[in-house]
Amino acid sequence: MMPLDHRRTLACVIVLAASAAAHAEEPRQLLERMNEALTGRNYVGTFVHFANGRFSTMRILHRVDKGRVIERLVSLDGSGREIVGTSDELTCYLPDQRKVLVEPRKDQGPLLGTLPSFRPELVDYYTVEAAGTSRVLGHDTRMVSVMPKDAYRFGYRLWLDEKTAMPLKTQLCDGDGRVIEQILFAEIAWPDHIPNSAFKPQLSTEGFAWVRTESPLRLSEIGSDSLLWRAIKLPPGFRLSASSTQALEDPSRPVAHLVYSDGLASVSVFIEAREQGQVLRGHASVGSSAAFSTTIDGHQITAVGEVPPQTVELIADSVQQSRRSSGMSPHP
Amino acid sequence: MTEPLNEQLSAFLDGELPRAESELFVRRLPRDAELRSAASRFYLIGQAIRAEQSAVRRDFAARVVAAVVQEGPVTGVVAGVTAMARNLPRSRLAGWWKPAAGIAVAAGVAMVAILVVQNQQGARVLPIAPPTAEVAKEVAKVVPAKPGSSSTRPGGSNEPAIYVVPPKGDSPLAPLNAARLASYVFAHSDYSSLPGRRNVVSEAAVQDDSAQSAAAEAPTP
Repeated sequence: MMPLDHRRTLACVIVLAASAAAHAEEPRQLLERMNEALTGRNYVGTFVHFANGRFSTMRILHRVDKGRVIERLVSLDGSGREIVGTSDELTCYLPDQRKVLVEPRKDQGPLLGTLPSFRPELVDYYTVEAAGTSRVLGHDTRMVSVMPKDAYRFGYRLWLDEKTAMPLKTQLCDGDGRVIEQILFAEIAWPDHIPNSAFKPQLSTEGFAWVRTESPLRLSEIGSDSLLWRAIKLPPGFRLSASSTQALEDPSRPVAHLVYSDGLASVSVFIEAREQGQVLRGHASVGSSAAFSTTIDGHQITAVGEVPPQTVELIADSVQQSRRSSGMSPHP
Repeated sequence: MTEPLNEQLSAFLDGELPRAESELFVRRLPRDAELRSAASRFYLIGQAIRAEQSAVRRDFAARVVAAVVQEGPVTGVVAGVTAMARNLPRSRLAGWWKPAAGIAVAAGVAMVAILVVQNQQGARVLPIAPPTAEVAKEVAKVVPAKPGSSSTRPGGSNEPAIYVVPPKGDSPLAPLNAARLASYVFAHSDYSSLPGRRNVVSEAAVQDDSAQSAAAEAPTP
């Protein structure tokens, strides 16, 4: 039998070795673990979201049961709004508008979002670094910084729980490190079981209008060259990653939807026939997402993304209707 | 706002508040409009203080602080600012923007002016060029002073006001209506990554005024 002192020493060595191993984890490995934590386990938490000079508090429930994911996000600020997401669809309850929006789920990512895996070429546009340790909400955390190398995209700072890799605090930052948005968990738990009842909306939808969005059709299914719209000036690293045609609000008015991404940041471009009246051009914002709308060839072109305003403006202004699907060039 | 509450707010925003207190704080936040308002100003100022910017005139920073203070509970904001600047000795709190606090603080506060002005216009933080006093003056120039709006001329100076609280409300030149914009960001959220996606989804779940339109460029008939 090993003497007590030796056992204690061995235990200390094991703990220190485990700690050293955790700290030796590469920032990208940490981000991978974060994605696994966000998608692959149960959690229930309350977080505060700050953007555009406003605070809002929300509760998130996320359950993975036999491979099936269900999530519920509830506003705690009095609007009564909530979103329930399953593997198949996303349902947004808007009691103040007496409306329920239902959209087919086009991906399986969690409502809280994840970071895409880092492609090797992303190092040309972002710097990923470990940025020390600190305590958040009583948890030991490791901070990872993902900062942009130019002004066309934002970066992130993430405080990841040492044990679970959950992002307990997240900041969206510009290239100078200024915070655009912050998400901070005030409480979080990882229960083994979350009952079905926890995912039922706590409101009556009697008399509500239900608005269902059908699955988008691929451009190839539309089969019309007239829908070949492309942005011809893109920030370095951005390229077309998806395209579809959707009926967003009015089924009789299809909207072409192009998605440009550098692998981390993404910008959606929406193209639809312009309504009668003024030609509208200008910036708008939703939370920390920027939007820019302009009119080109009788169509309203709107770019939306979690990028600086100049990026959406650059992309929207460069959209052209062409029979050629190529011809994109990096900017400048 | 009491100073202990401000200090609690500061610790919360840093993620340093004990878990039990954080939970209580979050329960209170939705019910307390004053606390939310103070937290917003507090957060902006705190972030600005942390930002390490290049030189901006100290007197400009002081005037901006005075303007920001005029917006809300004076003690709340000042105490909040000082609590965020915890690394400063207590005895310096009353005049924390003076040279002892350094240029970074002054420059950071200058940024607050830009943030506040732009936020109330419905625009968002412009991330590229660090704001300078000259830029701030230009911003102030384009925001028309209206009767009843607050402006500041500290110390009875004859210099023109450099900060004017702009009127609230949607721009009549909004490029898109809120519903259309909301449908766009909702559709975009499928392609957003963290935290952009979280932001989009969160915005959909909160107040109706979440979709804010900024001043549009010249519309043409």
